[in-house]
Amino acid sequence: MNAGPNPSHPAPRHPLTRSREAILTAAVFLLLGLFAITAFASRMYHKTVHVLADQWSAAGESASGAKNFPEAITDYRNALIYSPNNSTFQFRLAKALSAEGHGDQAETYLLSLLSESPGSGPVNLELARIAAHHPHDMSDAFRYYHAAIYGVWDADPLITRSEVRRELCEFLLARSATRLAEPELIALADNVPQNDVARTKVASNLLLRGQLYSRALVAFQSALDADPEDSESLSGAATAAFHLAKYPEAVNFLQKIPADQLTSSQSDMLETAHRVIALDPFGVTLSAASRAAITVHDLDLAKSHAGNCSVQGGDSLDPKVPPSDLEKLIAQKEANRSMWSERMLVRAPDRINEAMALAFQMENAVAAACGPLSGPDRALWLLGSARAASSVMPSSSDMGARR
Amino acid sequence: MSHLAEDLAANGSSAAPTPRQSESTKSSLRALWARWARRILEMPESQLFLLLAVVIGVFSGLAVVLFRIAIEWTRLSLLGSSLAPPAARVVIVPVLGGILVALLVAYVFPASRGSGVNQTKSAVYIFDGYIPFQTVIGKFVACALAIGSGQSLGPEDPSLQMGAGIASAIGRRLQLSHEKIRLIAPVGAAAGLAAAFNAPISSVLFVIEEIIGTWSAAALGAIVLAAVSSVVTMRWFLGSDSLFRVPAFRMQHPAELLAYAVLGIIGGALSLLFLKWIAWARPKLEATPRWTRFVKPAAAGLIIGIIGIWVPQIMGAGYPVIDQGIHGEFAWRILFLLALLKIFATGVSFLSGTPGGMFAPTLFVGAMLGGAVGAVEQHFFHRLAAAPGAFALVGMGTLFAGFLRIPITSVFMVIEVSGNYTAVLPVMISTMIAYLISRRYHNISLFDMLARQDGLLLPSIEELREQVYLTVEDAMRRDAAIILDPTQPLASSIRAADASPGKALLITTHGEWRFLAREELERISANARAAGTPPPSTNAFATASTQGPLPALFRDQSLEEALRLAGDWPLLPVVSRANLAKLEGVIAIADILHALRSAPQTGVIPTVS
Repeated sequence: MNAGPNPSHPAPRHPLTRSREAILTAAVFLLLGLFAITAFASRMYHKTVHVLADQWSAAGESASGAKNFPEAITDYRNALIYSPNNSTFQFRLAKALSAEGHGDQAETYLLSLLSESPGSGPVNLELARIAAHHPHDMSDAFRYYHAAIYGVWDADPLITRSEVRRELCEFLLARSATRLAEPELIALADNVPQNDVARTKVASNLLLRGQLYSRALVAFQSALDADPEDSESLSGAATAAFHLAKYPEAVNFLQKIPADQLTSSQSDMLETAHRVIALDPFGVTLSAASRAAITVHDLDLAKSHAGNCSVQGGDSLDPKVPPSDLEKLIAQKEANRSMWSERMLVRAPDRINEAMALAFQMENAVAAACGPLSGPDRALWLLGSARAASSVMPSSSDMGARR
Repeated sequence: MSHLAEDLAANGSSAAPTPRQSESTKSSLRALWARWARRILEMPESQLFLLLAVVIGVFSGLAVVLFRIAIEWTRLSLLGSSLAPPAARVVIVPVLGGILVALLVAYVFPASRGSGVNQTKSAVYIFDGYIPFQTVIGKFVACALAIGSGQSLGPEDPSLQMGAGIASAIGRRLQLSHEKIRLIAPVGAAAGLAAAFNAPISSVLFVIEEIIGTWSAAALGAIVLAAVSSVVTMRWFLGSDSLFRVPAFRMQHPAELLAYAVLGIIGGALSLLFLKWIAWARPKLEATPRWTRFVKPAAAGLIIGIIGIWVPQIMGAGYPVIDQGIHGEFAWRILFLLALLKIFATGVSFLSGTPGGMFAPTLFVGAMLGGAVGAVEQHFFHRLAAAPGAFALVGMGTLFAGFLRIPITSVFMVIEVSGNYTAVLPVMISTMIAYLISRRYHNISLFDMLARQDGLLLPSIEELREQVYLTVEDAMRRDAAIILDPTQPLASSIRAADASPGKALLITTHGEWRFLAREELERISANARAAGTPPPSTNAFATASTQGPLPALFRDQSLEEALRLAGDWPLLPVVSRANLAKLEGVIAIADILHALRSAPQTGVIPTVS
């Protein structure tokens, strides 16, 4: 009977097999040993590299802080040797490069970062700032600014987005892109918290620069609610009111500014506003006699200016308005002298409109023929412009503000 | 693991082990390991080879990780952590490093000279896969010192040789067959290169394209396994990031390819310059007296140090500088200057006999050249050219193809090291142009040239690739045989044979071919006439008197295959692959030999000098 192989007495193995077994065993131990050594070495290496990266980055930060951008660039480059995929270092290097005027180099890093995180607010903002330097094309800058506004921000996202929008507005206004700036300005003003006076003032000033006077006036008034004596807000509100032809309001705001703090332009504005009010025959509180007297005065004033301009020989700025037109207007005024006398205007107040229309026509013609107006001329011309504008539909954005 | 659990369960208990139980557990573990080891060693050698490929990959990966760390530590210790070290260090360190390297190479590791690629090829084709393990250590120490001290060389080719050396040592120790030991060196080479480049596909392609030369099924599986396992090991320790961070770019218009074609032309020209410089200077420096080998690495270090005072970017492998180039941090003039200086510095380092690789410097030159060409093209043709970073990336592949003459590897290498597939079309255009220019004006590849300068006649993979392979179609004769119908009477077959004098006679039945000798046909016919018996049918005659069945050939088969099958047959039929009964021609040994003799001779005639 075959008992089979006895496990306690295994068949003797070939010496070659035994030696190969020993080698295999040694190889396994060697592999484990090498693994341990590599793990130790790599840990030490990563630690060293990490420390070096941080050291160079800190040096870069300090150089950046001191506005020493060339040194900062070198330091960040060194930091990137040890941490090549560190997006913070790349971003800092890009900022330093941009600050040093190497926008194209910075752009490459930023585009690389953007491909990794397309929604990054800071990266889009830096790209927008670089693109803003392109003299002829502002579409990239506009796109990046928008991406930054709607991008991801780690700290204070609301405030940061508002700041980015402010920067965008300033960029657009600097490029005279008022139409593009309009919705951004409105969004900026609408998103300012009610109790944040500083931001309200910034937004109001930008609205003023963007010629959104109604909204600017509302915004300045809201700033004045918090601080009624703030001269910057008073000045801004007065300017907005002046441009809206709300001369009494403008006078009111300007008079609240202490006289010694009035700038020359504010003084001019105040004087002009006073003149406009004085030359306005349409004031609701005026008697019929006063209206008639003012109208006659305005007509004489306009005729006198037109006559002077005509005598100057028609130093015309606009060939469409030859001096002969002025003479025609003067002749028209003379032809209606009896009808537009003080007595007749008191009797027939509806003729005041007709008379003032001629006065405004004469001022417009003088402005076109003899250049910028000043003093009472300008006041009368402003009055005419305001009367003309009141018959035109206001812009939609301003309508929103008025509502 | 299940065996271990079973054995432990059989021997163990829930209570604390007594000394006897502990001894018993140890012996069980030992027995278990012995059983596993036997199972592994008793595997068929082909399976064991695949398993070993994984082990070789892990060993190579670990070696490459340590090698890279060693280079970095050497650099940090000797040159400091800044990209622009102090001038005194920049001059002194490479000189001292050169002296040390010279002494190491001369007295301790004489086999560690060179880049490592040809040494691995020599191991495969001359030394039966033997690479002394001392070479691995020598490469590790000498290259870490050389590259870390600022010599303008790279770590990839040495990594390749280290991988091959590790594989060779493992194969020898495990007493693999002769054939497997010869195959194991390329397996290790692929593992080493894959870990160094973090690019498994390119390394597999490189080994096939440059070292083995054929898609050998026996080696391919092992090479792939080794490359993958080494990359996994390397990534375990050093992370999985691509070698370079390439800014996002995309092709806006097909016309952009024209810009890349221009890069291909300029890259081809610069590759030629690089090749010619090495080809011209190496024999001259090799001919210098023997004592100069102690001085040359130091002298090379001095030259590089002096250049490095003003242009420290050319020192070392230069990966951070490549990264800067890709990110457009240099003006085109600087980029072009860096490319030229790097060619000079790399030549100086390599020709001095300092061990180190050519791959990284080639990438450097390519990136700088690409960046320069891209910047110039973007300046003049803003709409035509993409960002200079894209050109820098494509430039790397271009120089790789033009200088190292490995076009397929170049294309994949660019994709792998950048992780960017968008570059594939530009790279293909640019590399092919550079390769063709380089091939046209310098008829031998870098590695072949170096091997021949060293007196080694290693097979030129480039020449093999371009060799004309003769097929059966090149040697077969059409209309040289007639087919006899086996169902016809013999008389009609005789008439047919008489109508085509000089042609061979073949009979086919169900796709099986037989040869009928003309003399035999005439003899049987004469016998029948003499006996007065009616002549048999061709079929009856054929089964008795023909030779066959003949092995059939197809016209696309190689002549070597035809020669093997020809045996003692007077001729072989060449038939259609769609219809085995359709004869396309016949071929005899004489035809094969004639075709082979008429083919252009591509071999090398060895000379004593």
